[in-house]
Amino acid sequence: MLSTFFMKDTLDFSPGTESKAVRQQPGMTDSKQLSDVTAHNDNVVEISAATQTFSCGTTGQELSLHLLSLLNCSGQRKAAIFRSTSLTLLLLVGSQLIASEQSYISVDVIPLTESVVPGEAFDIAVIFSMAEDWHTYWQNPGEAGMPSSFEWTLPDNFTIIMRQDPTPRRHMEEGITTFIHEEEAIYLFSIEAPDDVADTNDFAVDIQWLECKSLCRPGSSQQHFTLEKGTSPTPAKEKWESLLARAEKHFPLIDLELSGTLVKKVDHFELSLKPASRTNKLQRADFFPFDEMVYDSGKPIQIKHGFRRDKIIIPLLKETVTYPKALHGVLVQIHQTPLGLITTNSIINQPLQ
Amino acid sequence: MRPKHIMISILTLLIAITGFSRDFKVGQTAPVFSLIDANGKAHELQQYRGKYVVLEWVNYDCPFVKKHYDSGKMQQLQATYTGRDVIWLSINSSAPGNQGNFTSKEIKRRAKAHGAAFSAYLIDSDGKVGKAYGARTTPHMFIVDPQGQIVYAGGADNIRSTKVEDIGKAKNYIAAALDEALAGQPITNSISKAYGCSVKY
Repeated sequence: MLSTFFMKDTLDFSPGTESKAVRQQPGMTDSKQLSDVTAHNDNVVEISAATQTFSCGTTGQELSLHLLSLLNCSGQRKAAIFRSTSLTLLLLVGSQLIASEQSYISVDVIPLTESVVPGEAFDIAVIFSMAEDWHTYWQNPGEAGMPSSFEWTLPDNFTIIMRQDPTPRRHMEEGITTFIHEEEAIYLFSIEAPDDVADTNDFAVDIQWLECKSLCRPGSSQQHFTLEKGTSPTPAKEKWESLLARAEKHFPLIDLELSGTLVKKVDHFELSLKPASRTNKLQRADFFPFDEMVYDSGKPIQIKHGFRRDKIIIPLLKETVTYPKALHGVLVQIHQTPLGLITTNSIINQPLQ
Repeated sequence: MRPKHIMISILTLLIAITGFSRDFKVGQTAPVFSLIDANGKAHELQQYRGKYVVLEWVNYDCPFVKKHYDSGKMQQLQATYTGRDVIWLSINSSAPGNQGNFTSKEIKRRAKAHGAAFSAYLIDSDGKVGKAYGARTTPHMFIVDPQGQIVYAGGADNIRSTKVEDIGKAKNYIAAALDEALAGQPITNSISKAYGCSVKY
């Protein structure tokens, strides 16, 4: 898409002036296209600034015509056009490479407080906003990819007491299964302040991720912010509540007392669960394990309905050397209810029988 | 059709019917294959019986592969172990039109630019060999012993990142496995999680 848009640009080589890029505006309907155009604008500026001045009656011609004009000029003019054309082509290629480094994912770090209160905890939201079809990876990325990482630099004696990650989505491409985040992924870090807090407190986080849309490239963002010492917690603000509501929609609930049993069969774990009620029927389920190299991510999770129990079949990897003593990860259950489909995401740590 | 071509076709058919393998284990017989290299020469796994063979799934445009080549580590491993009579086969399973599927000319140009020291760069455009081995990522590494058994499957090292500076900090599983194997010792880490870009089948 980038190259298509870019080649729609025409180059205006006015006599005796610096060349200027003139955009033929494509129809823009989505954020992906808007981000492309932003990248192009940068490229256009770069080309305009670097292209040589010359004159040979090529005013307003497109690049292809500009190349053809070589045939109609002679001597010094030909040489000038050739140099200019070569440079333009080089810059076009170069600018394409620069454009290819354009990130399709932006990351914002938002403290959900205006000050630090001694001995109190506060939350920091890290928000990944992804262009259409681009994705990042969950903490266990599945069969390929790389999880996003967060390296915090905190003031003395501040500690991260909790991190909440959104529930991923199963993604299959060419037979390879990965666990991904799309569109928006909000992480929440709870940080506890010590009893003794300085007047000014500096925080920094180095965020690394892999962004993919059939092709992958690494992304990173280094962000920092400062919070002053306060005496009482900041009242929740409307914009934070909206953000938290979006985040909590995807956070799994912690359900460590799942009313079920787990047994190991030859090539799978079998998790038996009591139906939630007579009217709610488990329709689909998925499982995202925290442990890697244990479960066969590429095989689908299956459900067997029983009279008293529903069984969720979780395939094990044959390459695994040792099996865990518990099923630890995020369990997604989709129930058909009289009110429609209800999805429940829970963190489970179900011990083997 | 000449006998050699018939044999290649049979081998290809055997691989084709196996589909995407998720079920092999270290210690099992390595799937046989025959692939053409960037010079048009056929390579059969069986012709290397009696030697250790490293299979390296590669895609030069994948940032994880770039890490291993930009640091010079992968080329260093290739040079070191081919110098010790190990066969090193780099394999690309990208489908035509997908990232990493290059012309022979481009493969040679890139290999030269990298100073690659593999025994051969094999082209698996239909992905049959990659799927037979269950190669999911680039890089994804396998070591086949002189008897044709898989003795290592997994990643190149233990730091899942795209940063060149991590190469020096990482434990390289291939070097460790080959050093042990060539010394006649059992391989301590015979399996690891492969990490990287997905293979562009």
